[in-house]
Amino acid sequence: MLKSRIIKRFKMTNPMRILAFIIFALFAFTILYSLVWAFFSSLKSPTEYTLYKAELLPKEWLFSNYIKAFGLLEVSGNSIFVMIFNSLWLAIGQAFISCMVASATAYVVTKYDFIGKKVVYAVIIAMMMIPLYGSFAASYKMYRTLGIYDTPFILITSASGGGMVFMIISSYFKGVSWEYAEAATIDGSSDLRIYFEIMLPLALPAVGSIFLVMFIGSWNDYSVPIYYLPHYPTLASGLYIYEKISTFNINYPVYFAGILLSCVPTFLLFIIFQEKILSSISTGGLKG
Amino acid sequence: MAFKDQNTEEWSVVNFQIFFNDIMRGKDSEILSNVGNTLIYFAVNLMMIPLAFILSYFMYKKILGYKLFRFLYMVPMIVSAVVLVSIYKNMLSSSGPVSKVYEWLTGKTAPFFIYDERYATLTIVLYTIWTGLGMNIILFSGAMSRIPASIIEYASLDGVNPIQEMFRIVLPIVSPTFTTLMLLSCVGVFNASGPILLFTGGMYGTSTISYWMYDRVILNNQYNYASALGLMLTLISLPIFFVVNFLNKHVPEVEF
Repeated sequence: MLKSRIIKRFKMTNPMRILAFIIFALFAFTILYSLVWAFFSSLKSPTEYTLYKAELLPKEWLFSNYIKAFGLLEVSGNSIFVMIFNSLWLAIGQAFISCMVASATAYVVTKYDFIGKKVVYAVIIAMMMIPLYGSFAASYKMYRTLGIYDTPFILITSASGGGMVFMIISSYFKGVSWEYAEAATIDGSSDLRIYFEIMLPLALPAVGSIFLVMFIGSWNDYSVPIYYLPHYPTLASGLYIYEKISTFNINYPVYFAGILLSCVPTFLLFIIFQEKILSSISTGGLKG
Repeated sequence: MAFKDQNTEEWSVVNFQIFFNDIMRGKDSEILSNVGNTLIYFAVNLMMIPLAFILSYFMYKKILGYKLFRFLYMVPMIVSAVVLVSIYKNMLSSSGPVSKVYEWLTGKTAPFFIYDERYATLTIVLYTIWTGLGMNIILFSGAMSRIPASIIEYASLDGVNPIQEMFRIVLPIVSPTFTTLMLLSCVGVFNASGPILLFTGGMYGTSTISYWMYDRVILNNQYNYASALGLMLTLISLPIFFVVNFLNKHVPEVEF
C-alpha cells in the first residue's frame, strides 16, 4: 500500500512522461496490430487476401478457414492432429524430465554433504557460463551414434540436471528448513521418502511455475524438432516446413488460421497463470 | 572431432587449413561475413539493454496503462517464433500493411525487404528488437519492483529529481540485473544470431554463425569442419568471457 502511494505521489516531469508513453503505446500498438491483422487475414478468402492485404477488415467473414485448417495443413503425411500430439509429448516430456532431474540434483547438492559436491556445482555453473560453439556438431553426431536421433528417446537429452532450472530450484531448497527431514528420520523414513513426500511437495510452487515456463518454451521451440526430430513434426516445426514447401500455392488465410490455433494452448496457460509466469520470468528468464 | 579428416577418419589439421584459407580470402570469406552478421545482432542485443532500462523505469513508475503494456510485451515470449516471423514476413511483403505505410511516408515503392541484400539484415535486426525489447523491459521492471519503498521515500524527502533518482538510486540497485544481462549477451557473442532459418535460410547475405553451423552439420554433414570452427570461436571468445567476468565481480554491490 505504502509503496504504491509513494510511487504515485512522485510525478515525472511532463514532457518526458508523455514521450515515454508515446513510445510505449507505439510499441504495444505494433504488437497488437500484427495479431489483429493476422486474425482478420485468417478470415479472408485466398484471392481477397492477395488483393487487399493491407485492408484490415475482411469483406466476408470465413470462419470456415479454421475448420479447413484441420484438413489442409499437413506435412509429409502428418496431419495437424499428429503435430498436436507430437507437440504435446515433446513439450510435456521436456519440461517434466528437466524439472524432475534438475530438482533432484539441486536437492542433493544443497542438502547433502558428499565428496565431489563442489565439483558437481562447478561443472553445472561452467556448463552455463562457458560457451562451446562447436558442440552442436558433436551432439548431433552423438545422437546419431546413440540411435536416439529422430526417435522419442531424444527426450533423454533434457535430463541434464543443470541450467537455469537448477539455479532457481537450488536457491529455493536453500531456504527450506532441514528440521522436517530430521523429524522424519526419527520417525523412520528413508531418504528417498523424505524427498518425495516432504521436500518435493514443499518445492512444488517453485517447480510448478518453472514447469509452466519450460512447457511454453518448448511448445514454441522450433529448433529441436527441426534439428533432431525430422520425422516427428510438432506444431512449430511442422507449420514452418508447411510454409516452406508450399511457397507458391499456399492458402495463406488457412495457414494463418493454423498458426493462430497453435498459439491457443500457450496463450490460455499464460492468461490463467499470468502472475506466476511473470514472477518466474523476472527471476529466471525464458529460454527459447 | 575437429582434428580428424572426415573422409579418412585419420588425425589431421585439414579442417583448420580450410578455415584459414577461407579467412585469407578477405572480403569474399564466408566465415568472416557470417561473423560480421553475428556481431551486428550482438551489438543490437547490447544496445537494447540500456534502452530497456530507461523504458522500464517509466513502467516502474506506473505509466498510464502499464498493465496492458506489460501484457502485450509478454506476447512475443508466449507466441512461437514461427508464428511471429511468418506474420512479420507477410506484413512486410509487397502490398502488405508495412509496405503501404512505407509508400505513404516516402512516396516511393516499397522494396522487397526480406528478399533484397541491402535491407534483409536490417529487417531481421528490427524483428529481434521488436520481440526482444519487451523481454528486457519485463526483466528490469521485475527487478525494480523489488526496490524497498523506503529508499524512494527518503530520496524524495531529500528533494531528488526524477533523473537523479533514475541514475543514482534505481540504476545502482538494479545493477545485478544489468550486469547479468550484459554478461549473458557477451558470453553468447556467437550465439546471438537472430532467427535466420525462419526468415531467409541464410540467403541474401543474412547468414550468421549459428545458422552456418546448422547448414554445415545438418544440410551438408560436415561435422568435423563445423567442430573446428566452433573450437576456434570458443578460443576467441574465452578471453572475452574472462574479462567480462572479472569486470562483473568488480562492480560494487549495493546493500539495502
